[in-house]
Amino acid sequence: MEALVPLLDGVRVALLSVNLLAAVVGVLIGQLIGVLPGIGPSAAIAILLPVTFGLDPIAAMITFVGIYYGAMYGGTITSVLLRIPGESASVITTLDGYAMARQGRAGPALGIAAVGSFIAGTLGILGLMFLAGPLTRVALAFGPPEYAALLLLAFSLVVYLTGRDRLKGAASVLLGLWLATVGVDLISGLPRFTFGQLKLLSGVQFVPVAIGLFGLAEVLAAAATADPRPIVRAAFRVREVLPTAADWVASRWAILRGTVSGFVVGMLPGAGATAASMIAYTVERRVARDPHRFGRGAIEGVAAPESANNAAAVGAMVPLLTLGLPGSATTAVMLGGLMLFGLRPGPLLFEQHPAFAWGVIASMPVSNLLLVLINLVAIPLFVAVLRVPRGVLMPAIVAIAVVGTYSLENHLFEVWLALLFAAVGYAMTVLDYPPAPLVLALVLGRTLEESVRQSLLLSHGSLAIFVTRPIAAALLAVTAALLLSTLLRRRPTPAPDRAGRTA
Amino acid sequence: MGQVGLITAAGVALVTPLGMIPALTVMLLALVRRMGGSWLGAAGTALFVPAALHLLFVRWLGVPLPRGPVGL
Repeated sequence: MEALVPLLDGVRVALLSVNLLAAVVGVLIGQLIGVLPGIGPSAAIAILLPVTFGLDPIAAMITFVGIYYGAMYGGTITSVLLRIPGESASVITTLDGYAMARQGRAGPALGIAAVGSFIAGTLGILGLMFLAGPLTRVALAFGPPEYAALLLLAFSLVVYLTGRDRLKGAASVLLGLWLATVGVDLISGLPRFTFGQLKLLSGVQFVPVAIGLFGLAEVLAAAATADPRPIVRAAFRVREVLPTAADWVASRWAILRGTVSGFVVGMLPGAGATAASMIAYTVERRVARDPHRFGRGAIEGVAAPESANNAAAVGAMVPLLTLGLPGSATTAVMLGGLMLFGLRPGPLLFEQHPAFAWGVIASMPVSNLLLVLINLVAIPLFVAVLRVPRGVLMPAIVAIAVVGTYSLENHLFEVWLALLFAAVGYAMTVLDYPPAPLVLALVLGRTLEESVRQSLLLSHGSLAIFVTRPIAAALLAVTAALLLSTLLRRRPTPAPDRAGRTA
Repeated sequence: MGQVGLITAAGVALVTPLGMIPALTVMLLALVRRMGGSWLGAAGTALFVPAALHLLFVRWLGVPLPRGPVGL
């Protein structure tokens, strides 16, 4: 019973009116962002970070979690009605979701996605609550060498699991680590890579980089594409959206399998919700009695990936809150935001700020319930948003990003930095370099450097400290195995043919 | 992307001489037109969005945005 006290305190915090409002606002913003093709939750959170500085950190984090959840589902609406995923985790939903919409079953497709997301999110939260305690106790045994080894393993996993070309992932990590070294040296106090700019003495600020890479770059890239195709017409009254008994029977195991695979994949750094949804879809096709139904309107083809991407969003919170390791671009942006609030996710978070940690966890079922309620009654509202011309929405988002970035330091330097990284982000997208590892490395680079240098101070300069401590040695062994596998099994990405397809 | 990026950069460059709100107004007018919006849509966006941002950032959050010759 004593173990439940922090959770009950968290429930009390989550049910405060300001935090309930934060959850509603977060879920609504996330849904809107998810509906807009080309803008993901990481972009939304990066752009909105400056606006949340006036909020209490718990309310800000609850808003971010709501945005993450909401965006996962918002992307489904465009996938089903337009065959255009609102964000990458809904790509696979287009296959069966759009086919169902063409058959006049858009309502059940959106309904099973909402209910599946709710079930997956709720079960994922139970998993998070179950794992948070044991993982935190393990992490408390970590000293600087173990933490350095853990960060190296996280970077290796990001390289291993992100994108098609692992060397490009590694290049992205290295660029992020280099950016993290800009500023005053931790020990000598000498400036590094500041090029005479006083503003760079405190390092490259994370928020302008995230706004540039995820916010502006995505908006500018989306602006270059044509307006989406017409929306499939469908009825969205609650009766039409609620799944039938037959839909339930067909989807129940798909939802559960999607939940489990999504939660596990979501916990891995670099894998994220997109990989989770694709794995869940592949599993469903493999276990199906008639796999030929997939791609032609099979409801399991919607239920499994949509459950998986929501479970992955919760799974990504496990390493973020317990170890301070973001599992995805969105959680990396959240981590950066929390650091700006003076909070450092990790094992000490549960000891030093229990109201924050458990309040955020307890708010997740609230956001989840809001998500399903909003979706059963407000799908027409989000469909209406789809009818607003992109040529009006995108410039408005650029303006919000410019003012938000300026407000960080009341200086245009940060705005120019964001624009520079918008160009970098666009180039990375065109050249197929994943931007998420760069942000992950930028956020965690200083912590890695601190851990390595503290370890070396402890060992009087001997690198043996990393291999004589068993946990650090084991983590480094796994890291070495992953890096070797990356180097030995590197396959070049097939060149696209004239039609832009890859083999 | 190129022209949209250039218009955004030009808008940011105008912040110092014009002030944030007028610079955003000019930038939004150009961006909406460049992205295929009508003159009416461009004018509406260029007036409404900076006004909303002024309310949010200056009035609510107390951020002192750069002012230009027209006092905005």
